[in-house]
Amino acid sequence: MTPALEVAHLSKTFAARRGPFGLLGRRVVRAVEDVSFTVEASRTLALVGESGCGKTTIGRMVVRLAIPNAGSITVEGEDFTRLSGEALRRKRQRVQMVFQDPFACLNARMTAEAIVAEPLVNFGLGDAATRRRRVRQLFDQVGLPQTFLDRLPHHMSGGQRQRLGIARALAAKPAVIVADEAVAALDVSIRSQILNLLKDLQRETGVAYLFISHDLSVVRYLADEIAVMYLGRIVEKGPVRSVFDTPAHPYTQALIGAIPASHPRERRRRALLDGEVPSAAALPIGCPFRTRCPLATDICSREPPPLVTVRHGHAAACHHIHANEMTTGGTTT
Amino acid sequence: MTAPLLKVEDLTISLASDGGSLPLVKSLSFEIAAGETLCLVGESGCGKSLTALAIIGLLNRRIMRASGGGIFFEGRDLLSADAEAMRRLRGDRLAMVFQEPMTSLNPVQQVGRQISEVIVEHRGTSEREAEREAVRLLDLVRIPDAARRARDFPHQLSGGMRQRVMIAMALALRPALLIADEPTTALDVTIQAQVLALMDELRREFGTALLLITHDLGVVAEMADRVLVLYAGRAVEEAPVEQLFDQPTHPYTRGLLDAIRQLLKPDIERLAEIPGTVPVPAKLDRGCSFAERCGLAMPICGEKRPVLGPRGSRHSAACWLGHLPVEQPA
Ligand SMILES: Nc1ncnc2c1ncn2[C@@H]1O[C@H](COP(=O)(O)OP(=O)(O)O)[C@@H](O)[C@H]1O
Ligand SMILES: Nc1ncnc2c1ncn2[C@@H]1O[C@H](COP(=O)(O)OP(=O)(O)O)[C@@H](O)[C@H]1O
Ligand code: SF4
Ligand SMILES: [Mg+2]
Ligand SMILES: [Mg+2]
Repeated sequence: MTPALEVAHLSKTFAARRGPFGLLGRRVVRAVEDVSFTVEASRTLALVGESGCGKTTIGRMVVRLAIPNAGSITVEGEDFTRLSGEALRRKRQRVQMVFQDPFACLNARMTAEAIVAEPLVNFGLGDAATRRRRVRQLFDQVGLPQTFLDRLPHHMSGGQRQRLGIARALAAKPAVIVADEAVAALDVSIRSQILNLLKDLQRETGVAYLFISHDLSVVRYLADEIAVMYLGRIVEKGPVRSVFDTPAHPYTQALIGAIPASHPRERRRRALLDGEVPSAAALPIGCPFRTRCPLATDICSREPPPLVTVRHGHAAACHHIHANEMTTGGTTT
Repeated sequence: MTAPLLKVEDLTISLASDGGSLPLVKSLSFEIAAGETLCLVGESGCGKSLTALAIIGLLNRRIMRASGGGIFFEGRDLLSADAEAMRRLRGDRLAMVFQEPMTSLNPVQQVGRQISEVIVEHRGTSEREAEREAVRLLDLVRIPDAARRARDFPHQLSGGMRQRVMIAMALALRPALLIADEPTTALDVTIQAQVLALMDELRREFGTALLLITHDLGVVAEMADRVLVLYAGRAVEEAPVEQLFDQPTHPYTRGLLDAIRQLLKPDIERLAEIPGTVPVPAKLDRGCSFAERCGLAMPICGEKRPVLGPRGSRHSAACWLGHLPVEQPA
């Protein structure tokens, strides 16, 4: 079967100003570097990692809000990066995005109905009567009461606004939805509601999700696969269970270890990872993680580790994977 | 038993509105002992920040009014203290760290200077001595290369480092009580783990009591000695932390706990939900505020408000189910 989304060797650089007021000229920020992954229909790939590691930039390229410097983005078999004109417009319809704070992307003066109908209007889908029917059906589908049709978003709660954002993303029946930190701003009780909704909608429509989150703990329920990013690169990728239970990369291990305990008897009382992510404008030579890595040796500062398979469908980029797995057993609690 | 460091008694915080006043925090009572960590948990809008601001005397007095039995801190009632007395207490005996440090840091002053000024103002030490102390504090909160970083402006620091600066500033005068309002909510989990570990270490070293506000029960599991769960402006459950996690009795607490526990379990078919949303504050509230979202609600729940009642040693909850034993899922 043709995958819903296939990303190959994707790279993106930005020119950033240096020093106060940009007085020191420009430098290159390597936001995304040689990233590849595939998402099948009805499946979810979670993209995780600390802030600044390039997740949003990938999401924006996938929905074509940003143009890659290199690599391809194939949606249902067609290379998105090579399309233009009408063909591009049709393809854009197949990939939609849900953002963290729907306020930021929803026009505050538009009613809930107009917000959901907008993509239908933009893509020229159906006449006015069909669109009315479709919007009402979408409201049902995402659990918004019909009485909300003429409501303004700022008269809705955060959870309701997120349902609205999801209805809008679903309107044009996309093959892929990119959800960027879609539950990050929600209270825990609402977060469960939205995660359940996303899962239900996937069962009903077969949509594929690229689910972006800086918080590893929210992806386990929804994701089939996880890709862990560090400084623009994928450092580990595999089936969700395999990555959680037997993480191979020291960074993934640290991320899992940093998730707060779920019971006071399991408390940690120490941080597992020192320091912060270095600037993407001054990438370490060799392994990008070596400045914070407890296992780093000479080779790590000389050569970038390639992504190699550790188990079926599970790969990691670290020179010391095997030594690491032997000492830690790769287990987490 | 010695008197608690902080005793909040029957605190009500109301918003003055055209048609009278709207209570946002209602009859809240709790205590914190010296050196203890109390976590105040609840989802957004339940009154956590207002409670903190009332204690530290930073409520917007033009629109908010705190009333009730009193806020007794080291024996004196802060509710009746004047602005000047509160200003002297703040930073000295009582300090606060906010979620977004940029709101309390001066953007055009070097961070070291901001700390040393506090020390000069409250302790009257010489500037040079205060500056040395500021660098020592920055070093204590693990800011790498502290002497150089002391000359940075807030925008030159990462979010995690700014929060460390706030902690350094809060601890500069060795307060007896530190209030931290969602101090790690805006940070990545890795940096959150560092900041929590740091706060806990400093609390032990200085014997500072901590009122830690969070909506994240994971943070509670890591940090609390005792926990107070708020819902819609009222206390609904209070217990020592292990007791709360082992035997939560209020359906709201149980819902919150389920929400974090299930997330990390493999092969969950469907997450348990707390249906609906937190109610908006209303003048009239009849019955239990949680009743409309509660899967176990009985007719009485919509009619009469349950009061906090004992559920074990130092454990209380406000729920009509209190008299019935509640089964815990395995
Ligand atoms: N428009 C831009 N101009 C310059 N740098 C950018 C831009 N967008 C993102 N970046 C940089 O690219 C890197 C990745 O950012 P982002 O994709 O937003 O990460 P994430 O979503 O994982 O937090 C960061 O270093 C960020 O500062
Ligand atoms: N300045 C204000 N004006 C009006 N309502 C307010 C104000 N500050 C807080 N509130 C209301 O008071 C309630 C409690 O707020 P808050 O203490 O900030 O909650 P929390 O910190 O638990 O999220 C909320 O319903 C909020 O909308
Ligand atoms: S390659 Fe080296 S520095 Fe990078 S993660 Fe592995 S051990 Fe650490
Ligand atoms: Mg992002
Ligand atoms: Mg708050």
